[in-house]
Amino acid sequence: MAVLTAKDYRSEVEPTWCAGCGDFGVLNATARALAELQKDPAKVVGVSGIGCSSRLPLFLKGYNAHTLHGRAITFAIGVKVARPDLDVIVFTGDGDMFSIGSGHNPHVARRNLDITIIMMDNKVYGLTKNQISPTSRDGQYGSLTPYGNIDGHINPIMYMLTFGATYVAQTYAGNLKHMTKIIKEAISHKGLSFVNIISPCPTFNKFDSYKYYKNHLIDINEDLGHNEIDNFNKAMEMAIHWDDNYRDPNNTKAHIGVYYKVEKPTYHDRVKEVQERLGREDSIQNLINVCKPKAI
Amino acid sequence: MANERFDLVIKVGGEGGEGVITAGDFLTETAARAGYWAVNYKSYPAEIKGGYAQSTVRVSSERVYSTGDSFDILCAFNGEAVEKNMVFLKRAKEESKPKVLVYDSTDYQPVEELENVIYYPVPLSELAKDVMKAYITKNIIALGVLSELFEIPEKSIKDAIKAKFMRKGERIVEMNYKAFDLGRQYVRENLKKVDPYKFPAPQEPQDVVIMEGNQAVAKGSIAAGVQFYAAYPITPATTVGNYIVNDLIKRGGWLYQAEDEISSLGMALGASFAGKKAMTATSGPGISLMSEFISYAGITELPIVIVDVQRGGPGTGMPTKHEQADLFICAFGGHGDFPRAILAATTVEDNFYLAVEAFNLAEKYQIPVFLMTDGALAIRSEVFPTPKVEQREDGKIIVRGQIPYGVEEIEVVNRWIYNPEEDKEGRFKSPTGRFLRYKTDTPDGITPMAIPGDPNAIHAITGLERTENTDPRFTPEIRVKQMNKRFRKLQTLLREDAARYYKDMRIDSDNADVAIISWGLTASIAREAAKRLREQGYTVNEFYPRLLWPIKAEVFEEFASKAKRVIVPETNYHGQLAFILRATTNLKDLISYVAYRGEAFIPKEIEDFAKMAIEKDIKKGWFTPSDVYGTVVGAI
Ligand SMILES: Cc1ncc(C[n+]2csc(CCOP(=O)(O)OP(=O)(O)O)c2C)c(N)n1
Ligand code: SF4
Ligand SMILES: [Mg+2]
Repeated sequence: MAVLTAKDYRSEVEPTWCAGCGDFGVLNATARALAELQKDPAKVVGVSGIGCSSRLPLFLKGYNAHTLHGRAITFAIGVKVARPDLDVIVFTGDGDMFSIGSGHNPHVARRNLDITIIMMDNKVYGLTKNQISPTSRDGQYGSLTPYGNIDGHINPIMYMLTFGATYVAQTYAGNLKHMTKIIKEAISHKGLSFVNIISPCPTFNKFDSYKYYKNHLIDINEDLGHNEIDNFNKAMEMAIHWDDNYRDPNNTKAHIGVYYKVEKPTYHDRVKEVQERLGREDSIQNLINVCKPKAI
Repeated sequence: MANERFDLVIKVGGEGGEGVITAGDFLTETAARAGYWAVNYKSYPAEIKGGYAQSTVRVSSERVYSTGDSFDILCAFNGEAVEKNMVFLKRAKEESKPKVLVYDSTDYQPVEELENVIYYPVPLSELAKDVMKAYITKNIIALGVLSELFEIPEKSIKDAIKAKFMRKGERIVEMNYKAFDLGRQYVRENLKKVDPYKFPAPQEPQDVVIMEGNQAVAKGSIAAGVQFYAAYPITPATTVGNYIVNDLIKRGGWLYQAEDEISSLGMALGASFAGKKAMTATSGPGISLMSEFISYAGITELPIVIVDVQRGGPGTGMPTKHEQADLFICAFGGHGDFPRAILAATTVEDNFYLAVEAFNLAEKYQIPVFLMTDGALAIRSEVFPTPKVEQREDGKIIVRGQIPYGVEEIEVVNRWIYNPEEDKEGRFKSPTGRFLRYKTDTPDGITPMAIPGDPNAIHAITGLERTENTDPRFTPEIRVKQMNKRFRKLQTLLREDAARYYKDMRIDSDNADVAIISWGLTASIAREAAKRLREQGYTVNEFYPRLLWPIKAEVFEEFASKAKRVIVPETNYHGQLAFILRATTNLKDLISYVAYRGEAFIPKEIEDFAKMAIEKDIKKGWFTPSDVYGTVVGAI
């Protein structure tokens, strides 16, 4: 097969995002990562929910599915369980994954399904035009909270670590190189990988801008020496550290880098064990005949 | 003896956990082993432990589809079981045949002698505790008692006992035989038979299976080739999953226990998109949660089978009770307009074949298909002729049997997968070579699917309205073409397939006294009412459609035109099928006859109402059994 370039992973559909949207970067990095891995586009399945971010798979070439708000993970699980040979990548937003769809996160992670989840975290509901999301900052203005956010926020990294994800990383839509590297690692990881991408929404979230992040990012692996990435406690410490920073955005920095990576049996490894243990029955009739009165 | 007509209803009642249900299952299997047919209607207590349970077994020399109006013989494992059935015992005085009460005299003494009731006291608990030294043998002692009293073939019943306990070793089989013999001996030494009921001699057993309703759904789905099942537990649907899980794994598939019903359907649709036949089974509350994905399946045109084992609603309603009140949500649930189909089973046997048909419709038309059953059908067991599944060398699968709705055989259908070899002229390719998943100009509305991995037909799907090559676009022209394409599939279904599900129709007369249209479990009960009406000289037309959506109006209109009145019995408040028929046909004068008390109709209630309708010349309206009997009744 001819060598594929990033362009070969793009569909004919042109993105509809606002100029300057961080999601453009995520799209580019994903196409690059797939090209570097030379994945067969016919065997990559991108699944998304609803949101600006969730439009992303429509701009990629592949058997992609743009599903329902908050339900990408459920659909992705069905694809992966039915066809373990496919690479399944979920593209989601902070509202999609941690508000309406949050009930699915523990379960996909604890089972260690071999799926990659890429969340574009713009700390806002973009598509519905500016409402606060579960990752919005304190005081952030939204159309339904004109008085400023009083709801508190969640830390997606801590959650996904707690739920049992086996690869957890954070990266930034303004850093194509870092993003590409992380997405590549996440796709190659055997098991549930979660990548949170800080992805600015210049239209509705004026605070989390490219300008802000220029001076407010720190690489946890390079700059903070977080290298024991198979150590859960250390990963958790890092995540908590980020959360503390988050509360005082002006004096602290947001993280990029790999928090955690371990190898554990995937859901599919265990499914295979069970299938082998139970064996195969080729005759459907035999399965019906067990309902006859047993011969004595 | 082979020609002698035999029809007997034995009810076993008592505390859940005392082997009441097992005793009923033994009687059912005994009937099958002795060459007879049986239907076994069970009800478990709503509580996890304890509470009243019963099993009503109708054994007959002919196929029967309901457990009748009431029992002939009640075997009461405790006083509560007698009290629960007192209404029936008291009614014996109005009936021609006597009722027999076999009761545990350790627990109960009758206070009065009821007219036309024959009493056989047996100290079941005492015999189990003091003689057998094993209380768990109480139900087997009772079977010995019933066997001796009513000449239930000893060998057949002992074989059934052996088949059940074989696995546990010879010693356990022997102990149960001993308990059985003890029951027989007690009767010989202490009771004098004065009732008229007895089993005929065993016949050559037929090639039959015994299945529960949910088991039949599971087995039928396996025959159809299901590869993925997503489950979230809910009474009374859970056991479809219990029954299917091992079979599914052995057939190379998988059952995934989801975190909720939204996920179940999402997962099943993901598996369908990935190329596998997929299903989920749930009950009313689960269907409500699934609504958004049902609508999504409609626009993305993904084949999916959704089994609704209905229970009493609304809200949490009556989880363990019978009702058929989900027809509206299955027909209309989910936002927007999209095509779908509904099949509804009237018996356990139907469940098996209609599961195959549900997959066929889903795969052929790429639509959501509902298979509707209910809680009473779910746990009822039936003896029916063994379905035969032929797996041919060329991969074709043919399902045969005595298919109750009158079709000869069912060939398993697989979805149309795009094959570039068959599309040399590029009908399903755009000028730039893109795959046209939703081409709008096929005459039947059906277009080929493509499954991940095929480099020739790469495409994305979306719940947004889209172009032929799946790009989101909402122009009026595209919208109208795509809508028409999707709904053309239903017109095709009505043209090519609906007739299969409309064969269970009987026309006695072109101007019958009464016509009955019914669905689900109620249909199997209406059938018996119709038979009785006919025996009394009325002309009765009957129609039990298995396809409830879409509706082929002319079939219903023509059927209705041949009778003076049409009664639609169903167990929900609105009269949901009648409601839909009034809306989709020119039939405005339908008589809704409904019960919503959480229990199925009995044949007599439909029979009595039909007679009332004839006498009072009722032609339309909404009635309940209270209008016939003047009071709210349980199973009357
Ligand atoms: C069931 C349902 N409820 C609400 C919506 C409306 N809706 C669309 S996107 C969205 C929020 C998206 O936020 P996020 O996931 O953060 O995506 P972003 O647009 O910020 O990338 C909402 C509420 C919907 N599509 N479906
Ligand atoms: S609204 Fe924000 S998230 Fe949406 S496309 Fe525009 S910039 Fe991107
Ligand atoms: Mg967002």
